[in-house]
Amino acid sequence: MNKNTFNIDEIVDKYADMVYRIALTQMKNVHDAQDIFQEVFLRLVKNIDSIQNEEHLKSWLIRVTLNCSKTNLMSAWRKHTQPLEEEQNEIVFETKEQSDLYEHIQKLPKKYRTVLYLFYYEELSIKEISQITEQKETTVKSQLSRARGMLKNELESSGWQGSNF
Amino acid sequence: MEKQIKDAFNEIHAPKDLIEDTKKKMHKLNEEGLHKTKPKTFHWKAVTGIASIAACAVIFIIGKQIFQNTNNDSATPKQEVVDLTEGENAFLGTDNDSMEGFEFEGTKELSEWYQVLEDIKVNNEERIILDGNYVIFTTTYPKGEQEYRLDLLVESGELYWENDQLILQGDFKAEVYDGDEKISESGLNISSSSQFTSNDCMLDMEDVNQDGLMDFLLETSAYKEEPGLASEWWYTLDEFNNVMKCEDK
Repeated sequence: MNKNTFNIDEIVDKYADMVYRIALTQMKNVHDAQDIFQEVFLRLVKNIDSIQNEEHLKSWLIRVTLNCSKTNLMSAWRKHTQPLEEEQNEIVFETKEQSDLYEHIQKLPKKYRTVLYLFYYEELSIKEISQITEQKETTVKSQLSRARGMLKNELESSGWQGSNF
Repeated sequence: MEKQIKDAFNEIHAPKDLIEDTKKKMHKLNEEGLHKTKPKTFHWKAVTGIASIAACAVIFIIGKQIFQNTNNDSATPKQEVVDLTEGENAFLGTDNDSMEGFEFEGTKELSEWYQVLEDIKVNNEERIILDGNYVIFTTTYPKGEQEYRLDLLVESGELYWENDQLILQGDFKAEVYDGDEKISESGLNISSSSQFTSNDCMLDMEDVNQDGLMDFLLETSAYKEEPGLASEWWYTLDEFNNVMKCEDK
């Protein structure tokens, strides 16, 4: 891709929700997620020449969203200015079960939220996740397994009313 | 589980005004870029990329730390003298356009990194001997209302390139500080890592492995075309508890 040919509107329309969901999953904060969202797409304009194809574009966006979030979190953490509470109330869910499930996912450690989202929602393979996050496949498998276990325990202990896993 | 998780995430959408505002900014930035006459050659990109990786070799050298002189009698024939004393602001950074995902402070001029590259001689078999306490990363550790600082250091070791990866190998230790006072110190059973940084990192306290290993997430500051993510180091929970004697203080 290059600056002359890539279609900004098309790319943003296609990947906006993905970038936003990842940013929100990482930041647990709507306002920070929006900042990350803009930063990622503006970086894309600067780096469009390095994007080889559609598949590369998607993995690039995921990777940069994760990195921008991490940088932001790290900085905020150091300064002790980052509230950790969720701002879920700005998201409107169709059912209470969905709201509860999302709330419990957001309570998981960050790395588990990440693999859950990439594996179940983006339907990336273990191998693809390991490449994007630069972790061993065994590490990703372990994280996914532990994420499932923790989520299941959390849901059971909270008396979740949704379907059983 | 897959469907339920999908359904939950499906309810999350990027706000339309955010999308439109972002598009406008992107178009503006793109038009500005098209009008720029800044030529970029392969040589430039390659050097910039390599420089960013090579710079990783010095990001943990903060202050007055100097590599051992290879003229030292104890050095092997393959060991090389590299003086990378770069002062307080020695830090990674070359061309921000190539540094996706991260911002750098204390940026060096690219020309300065040429000399570093010359000294390190990337990808040959020479090894840099570390002799001294090099702080690899620093993080803060909250416990109750008190906050401690945890430094991970390499006491002595080697830095070398292997299969395009910068490897740090040696004896590591952790130190815990209460303000300026060192209150605990412990050797660590970490043998090597291929990626490291002097950036502060997040200590992932919530994630103690079932097999008793503590995960540390380290930011990767060196990458060629795409930003890297955290690499993981581990040490045992026993070792961590030993370091964190401040718990009982």
